[in-house]
Amino acid sequence: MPLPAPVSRLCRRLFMAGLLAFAVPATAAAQLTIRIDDPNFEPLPIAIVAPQASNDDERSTAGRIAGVVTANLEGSGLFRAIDPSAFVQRDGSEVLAPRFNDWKGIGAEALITGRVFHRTNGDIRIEFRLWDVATGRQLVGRRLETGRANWRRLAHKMSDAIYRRLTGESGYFDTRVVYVAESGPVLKRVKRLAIMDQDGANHRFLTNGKNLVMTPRFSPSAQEITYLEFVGEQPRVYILDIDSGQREIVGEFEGMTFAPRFSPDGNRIVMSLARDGNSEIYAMDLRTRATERLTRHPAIDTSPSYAPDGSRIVFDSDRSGRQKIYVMNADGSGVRRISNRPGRYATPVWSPRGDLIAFTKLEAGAFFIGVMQPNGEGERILAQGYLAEGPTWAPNGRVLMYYKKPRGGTAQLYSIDLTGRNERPMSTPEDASDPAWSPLLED
Amino acid sequence: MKLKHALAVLAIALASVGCSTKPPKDGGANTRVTQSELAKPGPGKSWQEYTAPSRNGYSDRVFFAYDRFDLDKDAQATIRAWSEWMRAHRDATVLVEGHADERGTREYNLGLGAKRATAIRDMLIALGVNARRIRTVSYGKERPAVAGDDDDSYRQNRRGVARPSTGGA
Amino acid sequence: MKPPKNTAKKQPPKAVKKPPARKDPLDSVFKTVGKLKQSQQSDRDRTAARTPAGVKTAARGLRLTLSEIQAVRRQIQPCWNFPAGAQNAGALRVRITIWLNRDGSVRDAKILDGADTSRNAKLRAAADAGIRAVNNPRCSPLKLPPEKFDQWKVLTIDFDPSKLSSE
Repeated sequence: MPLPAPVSRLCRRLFMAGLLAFAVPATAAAQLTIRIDDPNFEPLPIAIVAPQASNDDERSTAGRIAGVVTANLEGSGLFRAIDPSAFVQRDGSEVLAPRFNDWKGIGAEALITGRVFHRTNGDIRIEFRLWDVATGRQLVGRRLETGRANWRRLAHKMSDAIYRRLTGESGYFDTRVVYVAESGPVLKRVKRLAIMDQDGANHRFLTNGKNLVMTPRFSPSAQEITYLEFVGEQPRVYILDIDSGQREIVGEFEGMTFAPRFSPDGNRIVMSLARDGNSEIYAMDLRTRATERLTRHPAIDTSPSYAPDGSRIVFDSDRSGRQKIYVMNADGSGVRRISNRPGRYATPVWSPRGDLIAFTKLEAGAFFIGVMQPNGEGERILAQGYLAEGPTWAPNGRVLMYYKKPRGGTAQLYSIDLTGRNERPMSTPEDASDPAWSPLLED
Repeated sequence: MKLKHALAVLAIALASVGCSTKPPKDGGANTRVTQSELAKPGPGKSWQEYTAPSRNGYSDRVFFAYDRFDLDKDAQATIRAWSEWMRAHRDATVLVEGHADERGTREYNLGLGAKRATAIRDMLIALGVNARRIRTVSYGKERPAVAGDDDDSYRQNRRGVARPSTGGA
Repeated sequence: MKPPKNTAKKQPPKAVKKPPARKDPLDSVFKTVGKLKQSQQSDRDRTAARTPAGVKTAARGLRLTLSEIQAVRRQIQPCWNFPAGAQNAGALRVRITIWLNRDGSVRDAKILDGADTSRNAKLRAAADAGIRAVNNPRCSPLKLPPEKFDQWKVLTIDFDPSKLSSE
């Protein structure tokens, strides 16, 4: 319902200029502005109707897709799925014209409807729509298609589209997590690389446990993992191709290489090299194999992580006598300490959206997971534990995963959002540590 | 080589005899309890005997303070004994492991373990052991010696361990 | 998209309690609600500026009092949900003009600076959140004195999350 043009123009002038003493006709004086500055962070009530289907097979797929979408959205902490038993309109039959008053009546503010098709070529197709219940507007309408075995990715992509429309930020559901699966007695721990979907599905092991492995990290394409493996008594950085299982050592150095991470363009690996006991940070170009030493200090310099634009590197060093976080240019110049509070600061990881650096902090016998701005200001602690370590960012920079171990307990993965209010354990077949979140998967 | 071995064994034998005490006779009226330290095994012994705790041998490990890699007096004495053993076993090489407790982050602890192993290596070299006979490795917090989430466990896990092997053999 | 228009007819105007008369409503509100000081200040300025000096006494009874404004604020606020952890929240300020029926129900709502929302997904999401807030049945119809309808038949709600930026 458009405003009469003069009024609309007037509004704009009024509020853009803020010149309130302007000659305003008395009739327009009704235009009172009421400012509200304390939003709520309650999960948005959303109704997720299982997509419409025309036979039992399709109905089963539809139900599973709705289940995955529900788990994803609820797991984000930003949505509350309304219990389908409360639905007035149950069968998803009004895919194109939902009865919005029914949905309003049960408190839904957003609604997802859809249709599922099993195609004769073995594909699944889903057509879904996201609706704003209050206004009856369609916010998203999309068709997705993939092989039947791949149905979970379809549900994840659907979740990402909904999340993106309603939050304005990219999703993180069509992603994977690589981590270290731990088994066996404490003194003879068996550690294997394992990979799974972000929600724990499609779990598989990538190494056999013969060699000690740790600290896996994804390449920007999510096709490769760089990690540390002990071959005999030689701890070395390797790259593993996830699909082929091929493994390759990253450079032949005299001394231990560890703490590897890809550069944002995937062309370089930055890592620590301990030579004569002194750990320094090096970058290696994966195409030319040229290496560049970035730090020169007798202290321990480790846990490097690139800024998303590749221009800077944040790292951990005890050069001041205790572990603190430093930032330097990608060529090693301009080293600057950014963490200035008491306590030991470690494992800095630059957020994919660039605005924050996540870290592990040790203070007074406890471990904390927190974030700070790249200039060191605005520190916030999000989680803590007897042992909590190794944050990794979801690709949208709003959620972190890390591992935690209670006193006398075993290590487990957790995720938490930036508010610190939504900490959730991840279920894994074995004890779990050192998680790394992949970027959004490509189509 | 063999001659040196033999000499070393002889030296230990003599030392053992010299330090032993006479047992009291059966039914004797001797109420005095005598005690004396057993001699530490000589460097000619096998590493197992040299470092066997039940024989009051030298330790095969040294300990570090939290987040430190400097060697205290006990550690220095132990490493001196290791160097003597190395001198008596010219064909032996040694792997020096550096370990950390779990109260540190994984990557930093690898760096810390490397510093600990290197501190030991440097002292061995200073005591005359050829650098080529020493390898170091850091396990960080990956291979604790004892399980347990208490200060005593942490203390035992912050360690450097010598693992010699007889060269070539 | 037009909102349903029948809601207005279904819901009879509710009796609205008259706010207690105050000599200067500003004083008492400032004492209790310090953090809202700034916005109230601008509300007052605006109202004052628009009231011709000559009709001041007569208009006074018809103007919305600050406590009435505060009541609207309190009524809408619980329905304003903002995605937690949003980046640069200060840039996501959205002003929404609402047209009200006499019973206080929302007849229509429009984003004031709507041009930007089509280009900026975050701003668009923030604008949607504002639209949801003013339309949410939990928070409407707005409880306003019917005799002052002319004063509130069109309101602008300024959803300003900028103070989150400092967190």
